[in-house]
Amino acid sequence: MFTRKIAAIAATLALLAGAAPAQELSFGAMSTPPVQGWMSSDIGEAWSQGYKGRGASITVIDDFSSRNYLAGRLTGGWTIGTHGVMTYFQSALVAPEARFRIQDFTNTRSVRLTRNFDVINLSYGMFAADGYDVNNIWWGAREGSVINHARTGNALVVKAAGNDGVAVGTATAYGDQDYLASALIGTRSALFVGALDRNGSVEAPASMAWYSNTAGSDERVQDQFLTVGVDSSRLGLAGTSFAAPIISGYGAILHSKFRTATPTDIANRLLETARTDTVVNYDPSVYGRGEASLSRALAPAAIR
Amino acid sequence: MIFKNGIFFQDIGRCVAASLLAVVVHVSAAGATSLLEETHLINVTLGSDLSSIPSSARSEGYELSGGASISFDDWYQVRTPDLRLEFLTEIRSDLGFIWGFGTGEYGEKYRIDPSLKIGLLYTAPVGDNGLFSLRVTTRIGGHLRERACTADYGEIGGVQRVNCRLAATPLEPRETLQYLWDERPGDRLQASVGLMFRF
Repeated sequence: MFTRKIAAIAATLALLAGAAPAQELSFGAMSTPPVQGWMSSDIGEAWSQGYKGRGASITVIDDFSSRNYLAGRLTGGWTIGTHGVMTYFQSALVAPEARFRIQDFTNTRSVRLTRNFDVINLSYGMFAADGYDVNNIWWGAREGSVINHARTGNALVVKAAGNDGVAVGTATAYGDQDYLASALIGTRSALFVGALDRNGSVEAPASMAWYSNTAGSDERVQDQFLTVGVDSSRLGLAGTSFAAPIISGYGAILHSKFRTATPTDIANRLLETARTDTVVNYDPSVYGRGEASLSRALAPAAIR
Repeated sequence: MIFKNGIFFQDIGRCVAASLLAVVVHVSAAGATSLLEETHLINVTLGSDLSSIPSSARSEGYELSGGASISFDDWYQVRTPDLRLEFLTEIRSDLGFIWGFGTGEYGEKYRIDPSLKIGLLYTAPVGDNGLFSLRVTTRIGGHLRERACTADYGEIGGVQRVNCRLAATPLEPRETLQYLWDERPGDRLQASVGLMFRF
């Protein structure tokens, strides 16, 4: 089985055994960055008041050490870095006051939970030839721990849906399958995140990005599937790799409001408040529960 | 607790009003006539310096989690405006007693307490054409206070008391209560010195 970063620009990466624990980073020590053009207007509204993710810990498992670099316009100008630098930086821009831990692909240790509210961002997949029974896969410590956290509901696990244009949990045109996605289907606190071609609105609804995996006909996946805009014309990057960090940031922001909510509560909240009127021809087999809406997730159902 | 709920000032307002009424009833007819002759209405205003705070919120709003729109217009619309009257009663030719009251302002989610204004105006000639004046007033009451809302966040947050305006922000619901308006009037203590020359 091999790891594949879920970006439009795919790169091969050899898995190496590692011993270093996840590295802790704190973006909050820097001045709060402004709302970026690729972000939903929801984020700007959320930023006008609030803690922007304080109290949450986002673990980003990704490639931080290879020599495969991407260039993206995360802050207007061009940022160059590894796939992991991009996904970490993106989630840090959405939830700058969260605490961050980065775990390089070379570090295959299990992902330990913090004392904070834990979010785990997975902008990668674990691919092997189609046909294995996902229940009989012997997972390594890292993926095994992540799957377990999602099953027990101890962490919000945010998984990029994939860029093969197929339904989550099914074989790609190359005959392989993302078994990490398959293993997360039906778990309590995992979300799959697909990419829209931009941030949608009622006046200008968005479409599924051409490359994005969809929810498919499995109702369990549909009930775990969200979409967000990945506006490549503004971001300079494409791929569901850059959809997942947005939802990871949303999860952290939601936690800063609902401090006693569990990861499962936060996942359900994002799913329940997703919009179906901001996407073109809403169909649950394509968009799952719809386009994530941070403002609706933060708002009460009724007030008097 | 009584003070926090604003009843204290309301009670003061009522006591003052009752006292004033008692004074008016019990003074002799001649005294009352004299007092009235020496009393002048010097200012009438509708609304206070604090009225602009709820008024500016009226244009705002947000969406509920289900998509329904919430407008602040009804919540912060003036139901009863604050009528403020100010009188000057001459005590001596160079000294006047300033007094007045405000009825208070009410909206669905806020109120400005009734208020009482008292003070003194002292004048003294400066040369043949000049007049020096010193005016000191204080306003008791007149606080702006905002009422909390009850918001239902469903399974994730339950039913909680919140600041109506901030219920949809990332702030914790209970923390929003710290941002309820609780503003003192801007004219709770005013002193002014004037010097006027006629030429």
